[in-house]
Amino acid sequence: MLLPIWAMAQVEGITYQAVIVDNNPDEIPGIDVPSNNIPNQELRLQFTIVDAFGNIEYQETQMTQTDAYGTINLTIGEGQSTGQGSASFNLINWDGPKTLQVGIDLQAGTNFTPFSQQALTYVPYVRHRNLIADGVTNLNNALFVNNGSSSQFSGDVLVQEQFTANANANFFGRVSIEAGTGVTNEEDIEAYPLLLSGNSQGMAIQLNRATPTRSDNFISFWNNNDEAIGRIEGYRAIANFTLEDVVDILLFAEPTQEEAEGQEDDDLAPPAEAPAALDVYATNTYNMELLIETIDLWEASATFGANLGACIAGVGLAGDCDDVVWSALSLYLQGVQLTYFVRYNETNVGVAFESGGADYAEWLKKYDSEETLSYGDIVGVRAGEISSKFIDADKFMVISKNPIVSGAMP
Amino acid sequence: MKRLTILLGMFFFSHSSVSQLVYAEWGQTISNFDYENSTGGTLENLQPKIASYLNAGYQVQLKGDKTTLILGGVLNTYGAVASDVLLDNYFEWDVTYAGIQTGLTYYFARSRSLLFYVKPTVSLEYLVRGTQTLNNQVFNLSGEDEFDNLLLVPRVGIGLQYPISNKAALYLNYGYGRSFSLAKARPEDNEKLNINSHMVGIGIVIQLPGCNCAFKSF
Repeated sequence: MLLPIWAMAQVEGITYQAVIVDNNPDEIPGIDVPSNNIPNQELRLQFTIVDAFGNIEYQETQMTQTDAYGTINLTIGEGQSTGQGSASFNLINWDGPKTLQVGIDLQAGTNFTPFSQQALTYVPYVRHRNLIADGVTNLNNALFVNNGSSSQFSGDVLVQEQFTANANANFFGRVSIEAGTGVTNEEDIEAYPLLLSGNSQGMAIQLNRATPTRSDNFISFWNNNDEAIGRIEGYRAIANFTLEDVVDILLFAEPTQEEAEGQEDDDLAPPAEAPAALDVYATNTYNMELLIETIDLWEASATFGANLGACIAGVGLAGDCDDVVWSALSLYLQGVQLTYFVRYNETNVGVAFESGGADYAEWLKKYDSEETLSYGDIVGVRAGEISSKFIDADKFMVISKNPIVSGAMP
Repeated sequence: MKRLTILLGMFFFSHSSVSQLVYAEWGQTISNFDYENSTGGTLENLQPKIASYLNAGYQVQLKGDKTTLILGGVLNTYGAVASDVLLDNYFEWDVTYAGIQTGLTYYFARSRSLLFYVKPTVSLEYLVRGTQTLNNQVFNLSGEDEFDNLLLVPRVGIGLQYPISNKAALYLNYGYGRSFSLAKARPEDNEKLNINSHMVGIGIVIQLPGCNCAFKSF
């Protein structure tokens, strides 16, 4: 009944043109009137977009009037939605083949006669709400994702040229930077693949540990043979303070060389576990102080006990009952002092720098590369090389455990 | 043809005792179509059209001098014009039929020299030519079902006759007729067309020699 033509235009809809032709011969006396344009006729059209399964994606009706030549010009998408399928033209899911069905009522009513059904062979809509491309998509020009809309890639993203993020960037996976800058001069800032700039603060590294220990590394340093050569790791002077530890310190002998070797931090991969608590106490200033304070406490306690016993047992013989008071005060003060000492150190944590070379504070080469040196060993320095076996040497030094300890947090 | 003329002459002479007249009539036909298509619909805005007609023939005066029997030929042109508002179409028909006509003229009144008569006739007509204009196209109607067939057209006429001499009289005639198709070339459609015609014409009737007719004395 109609000769419809549809075309695409850059509006939110499909331009639809049709010449309304009554192709039923109109019976008149003699020669019947063949198909004829219908001019100036009010009519109503129904547009239906159907998917491959015959389901209605969108349906609307429009009133219009043919012009003097029987032509109508409409934009599908500007009509009144019937509510079937998508609520509006903008919400049509264009995925998959679509068919445009057109119905007409020449009486401008709702008794639509189907007269046109044709496949939409080209997505007739520039601003897609939902675009699904199953094939390879090539963009030969710029791509803009506007209105603050997000982009999501379920697969890999490869950026061949410079990548710029003007806002925060979050990486929830491992980040690898392999940037051959071509500059090797250590004094040139361009030689460093990772540059942080733009603020008065540099870089923050937050571990998921409330109290990073020496097995929790902030930064590890590796050579190109995948060998660990250093690290910046967590450090806390005391982890679990127990009286037994102090007793151990007081009563146990110094560890043997084998034990020391076993306790030595292995700076090769994998990163060594933290030293045992006992080792920690014996190897740094804090623990030495702790040991002294504890011994003082024991001493004060013993003095108090002795004086108290003497006072009770021999009043008048020794006449030391005043010492009981002084020793009790001393015991109290010593206890307070020990408590504050421990608390102070518990609340002040830091990081330790560990290096394969830095175990020797003097950064000197071993005379015998096979020799095992442990912290606390006295080594001699001869001709720039060290060994514990040197009887005579230019200089004698001590192998340190923690060559550098950063300042504790204020 | 000559033989047919002789036969017709023998017929007239055998049935008319004495009086014979010839007549010729020319006038205008206002015709319109009464049309119904296959679905029973009519053609809106179907307007009449004016055309001419020509009749001629014999009249034989029957006994009593008040009635004549007519036997003659007719050449009638009918037409109509129409348009379709919706489709913006224009239609025009122009058809000419020839045929034979028979009937009676009955003079029923007289006033001075004027004779008043009624004239029931019936004619059998076939299409001679016909055209149909459809917008800017003209079509030949030969072979078209509704037109190219035998029409039976009964008519009734009324008129008055005035003698202009002892042998001749002029008459003014009005007739109304309606055509009926006698054949149907395409039974599959149910289109129905009747042509209604109003004919107004002037005629002359002349006594043939030997007619015992008295236009003035009737």
